[in-house]
Amino acid sequence: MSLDKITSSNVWMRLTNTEYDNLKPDELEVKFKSIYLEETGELFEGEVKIYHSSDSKNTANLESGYDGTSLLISEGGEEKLYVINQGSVDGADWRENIKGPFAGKSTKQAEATKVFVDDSKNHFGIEDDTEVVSFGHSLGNHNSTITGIVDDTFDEIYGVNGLQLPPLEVYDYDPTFFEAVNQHFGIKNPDDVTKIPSNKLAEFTKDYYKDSPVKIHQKISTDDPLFAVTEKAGLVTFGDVEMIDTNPEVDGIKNLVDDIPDDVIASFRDLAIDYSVADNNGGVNEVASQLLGVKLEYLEGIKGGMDVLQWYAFDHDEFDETIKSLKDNLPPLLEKVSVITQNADTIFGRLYEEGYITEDQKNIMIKEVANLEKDLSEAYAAIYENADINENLNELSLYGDYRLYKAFQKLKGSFTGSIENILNSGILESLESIKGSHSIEEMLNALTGGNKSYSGKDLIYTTTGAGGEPIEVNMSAALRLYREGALIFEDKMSAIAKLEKAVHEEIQLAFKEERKKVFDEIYHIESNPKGYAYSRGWMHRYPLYEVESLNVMDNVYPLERADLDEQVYEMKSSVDSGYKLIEDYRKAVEDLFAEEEKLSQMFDLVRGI
Amino acid sequence: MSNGKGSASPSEMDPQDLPDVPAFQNEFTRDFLTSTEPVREGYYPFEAKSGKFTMDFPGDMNIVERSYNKSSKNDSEFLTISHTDESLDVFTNIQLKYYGFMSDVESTKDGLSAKRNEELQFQSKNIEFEGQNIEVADYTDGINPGFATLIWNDNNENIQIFTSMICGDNLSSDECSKLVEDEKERVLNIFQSIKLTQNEGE
Repeated sequence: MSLDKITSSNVWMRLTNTEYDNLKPDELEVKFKSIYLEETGELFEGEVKIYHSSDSKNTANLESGYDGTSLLISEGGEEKLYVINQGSVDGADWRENIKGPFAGKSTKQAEATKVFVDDSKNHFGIEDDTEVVSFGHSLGNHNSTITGIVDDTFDEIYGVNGLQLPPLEVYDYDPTFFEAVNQHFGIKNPDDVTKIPSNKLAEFTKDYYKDSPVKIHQKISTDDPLFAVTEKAGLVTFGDVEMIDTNPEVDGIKNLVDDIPDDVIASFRDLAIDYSVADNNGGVNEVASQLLGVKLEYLEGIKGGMDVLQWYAFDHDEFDETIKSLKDNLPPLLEKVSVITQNADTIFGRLYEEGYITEDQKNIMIKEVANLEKDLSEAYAAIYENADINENLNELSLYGDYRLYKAFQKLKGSFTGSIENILNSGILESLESIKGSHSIEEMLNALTGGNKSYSGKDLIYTTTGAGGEPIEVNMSAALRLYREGALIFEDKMSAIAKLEKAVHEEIQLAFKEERKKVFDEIYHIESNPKGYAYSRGWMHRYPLYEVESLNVMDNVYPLERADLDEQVYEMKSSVDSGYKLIEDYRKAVEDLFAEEEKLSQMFDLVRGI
Repeated sequence: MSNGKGSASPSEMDPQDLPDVPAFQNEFTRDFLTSTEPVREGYYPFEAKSGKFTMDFPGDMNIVERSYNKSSKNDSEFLTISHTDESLDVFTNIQLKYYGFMSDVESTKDGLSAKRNEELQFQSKNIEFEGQNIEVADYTDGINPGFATLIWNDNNENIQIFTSMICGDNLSSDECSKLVEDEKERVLNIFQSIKLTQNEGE
C-alpha cells in the first residue's frame, strides 16, 4: 500500500468535493478514510493530520476569500502534504471570485494559496522538501496553477473542471514574466498589456512556462461551461489534460459558445453571474434589485404622480438613493441586455438546437429579453429627462413627475413581470444541466462505469431486482450506518460490561469483605475468651466466675437476590438484536451485490476507521 | 487626508488648477496624492489607500489602475507604478506590494528570490525611520536591469518591490548602464522615503 492510491483513483476528486462541506478535522479524517475504503477496498492505516485555512491568520489577513484544507498524510515511511484548494465559494465575494480571473484581477487568491501552504508547513513542522500536492476544482485549480508555476509551491497539481490560467493575472504576479511579456511584445507601459491580442498572449504564456517543473494533471468535461469560455477568454491550459464527455445527451456548450460573438459572451457571462448571486439570496425582487441596485420595496407605495412628489418630499434619502442607483446601474445593464437582444436568435436558437432548452423556452426568452430591453430603456429615458442629479451638492431637482412615475411603474410591474415569466418558463432549471457539467459529481459519474455511480458525495451501487427494475443502494450510507451502528453497539457493550463489573465490585466484593470482618471478629473472640470477657467488664460483675471458652453462634447466609443478572441479560440481548439488525442489513446488501468480492471486506474494514 | 494646510485635496480640485505633471493628470493616481505642494522638486506626498504607508511620489509616474488591489481591512495593498513617457531614455516599472503580516524576514527574501528565479543577495540601506529596515538586491540575471527591495518594520508589516528599467533603443549598452545606475539611485530615494505609518501614535 502507498500514498499513490490517493491520486490514482477517484479518492482525490471525492475528497475535493467533500472539502466544500467545511467539515471539522476529525470528521474530515473519517470521511477521507471512508472514501479511501470505498474506492480502493482497503483500510487506510496511515496517519492523517488536518489544518484549515481559517486557522491560518496570515491567509485570513489577505481577505482573498480563499478557502482550503491541508492534510499531512503519512503511511509506511512516506509523507506528503495534500492541499485542497476550494473553488468558488458562497458569500459576498463569490461574484468577484469568478469574475476576477476573467478580468485578470484575482492574484490575491493565488497569493493566499501560497501563504496557506507556507503556513501549513510551519504548522506541521515539516521539512521544506516534503512533497506538496494540490487538489482543486474550478477557481481552486486556477489558484494552485498560478502559484505552482510561478513560486514552485506545488510538486504536483490535480485539477477537475478547473479554471485555467489568465495571463493578465500572471503578468501582475510574476515579475520575470512581466518583463518577458514587455520585451516580447515591445511594450513599456503596463497599461498596454491589454492591447495584446489574447490568443497571442496565451500562446506566449504557454511557451514561457513550458519547462515549469510542476506536474499538472487535469480532467475536464467537454460540457463544462467554464471550459467553453476558456479559449475565448484567452486563458491558458497547462499539463496533461484528459477531456471527458460527461453529458452525452448534449454536444457541449463549447460549440455554441464558439458561434457567439465575444462581446456577447462577456455580457452574458456577467448577467449570468449577477443572476446566480441574486438567486442565491432570494426571489424575483432580489434578482431585480441586484440587477438594478435598487430596493424594490421603496417603489411599493407609489400610486400616482402625487405620491412620487410625496416620496421625494418625505423620504428624500430613499428617493435620492434610488435615483442614483438607477442612474449608475441602468446604463451598463441596458448595454448588456441589448447586446443579448440583438443576438437573441443565435443564443437561444443554438441552446435549443443543442438540446439544452425547449422550443417554448426559446420563444419566451426571445420575447421577454426584448421586453426587458424596452422597459429598461423607457425607464432610463424617463429618469434622465426628469431628474437632474448634481452629485457634488447631493441635490435633486424634479419636474415632469408623471413620466417618472411611469418609469417606476415600469420597473415595478413590467420589468419584474418579464423576469417572472423567464423564471416560470423553467428555462433556468433547463440550464441547470449546464451548471451540472461543471460539478465533480458529473465527472465522477462519467469516469465510473458498470454498476457504480455517484449521487452528491456518496457512492451508489445499482443492481437489478426480481421484477427487472433497478435497485439502488447508497453504499457510502450503508457503510456509514454499519460503522456507526457497530460503534454505538460497541459503546453499549462496553457500558454493560462496566455495569457488570461495578455490580460485582460494589455488591459481591463488599459482601465478602464485610463477612470477612465478621469472621475475623468471631475468631478474635473465640481465640481469646478471657480478654474478651475483661473487655466487656464481665469479670467485675461476676468475680467468682471464670470464662474458659466462648462460642459465637454465627449463621451468615449467602448473598441472594443481590445481583442485576436479569437486567444485564436483557440489555445484552437488546444489543445483540441491534447487532443482528445491522448484520442482517449488511447481509442483505452483500446478497444484492454477491458478485462484488470486495464488499464483504469493506464492511469488515469500515469498523477500523 | 492632510488637513491644516488650508488646501483642498487634489482629488477635489479643478483639474485645471493641478500641477501639469502625469501623476496629477491621471485621475486614478491623483487620488493617492494628498497635496499639490511638492515635498521636494518633482515629488508629491503620497498616502496609500490602506493608510498604512506614505512616500514621496514622482510626478512623472502613474499608478496602473488595472493592477491595483487592496483588501477592505487594509492588510494588503498592491500597486504597479510606471513611467508614462515612452520616449524616456530609461523607462521604469515598479511592482509594489504591501502586506500587514510576515512569517519571517528570511523566508520572505526566499520568496522574492523564487519569484526572480535567482539567488538575490540583499544589502542593507539607510533609512531614517525608526524600527524600519530596507534591503535591496540587484538583479544579476534576466531581461532588464533592476532590483528587488524589501522594507519591513518591527510590527511584521512589509513592502516587497520589484523594479525593472528599460533603456531606449537608441542607447548604447554603455550609455544604458550609466543611465540605469542614475535611475536606480533615483528610485532607491523614493523607496527610502517610504514610511510605514501604523506604529505612529495618533
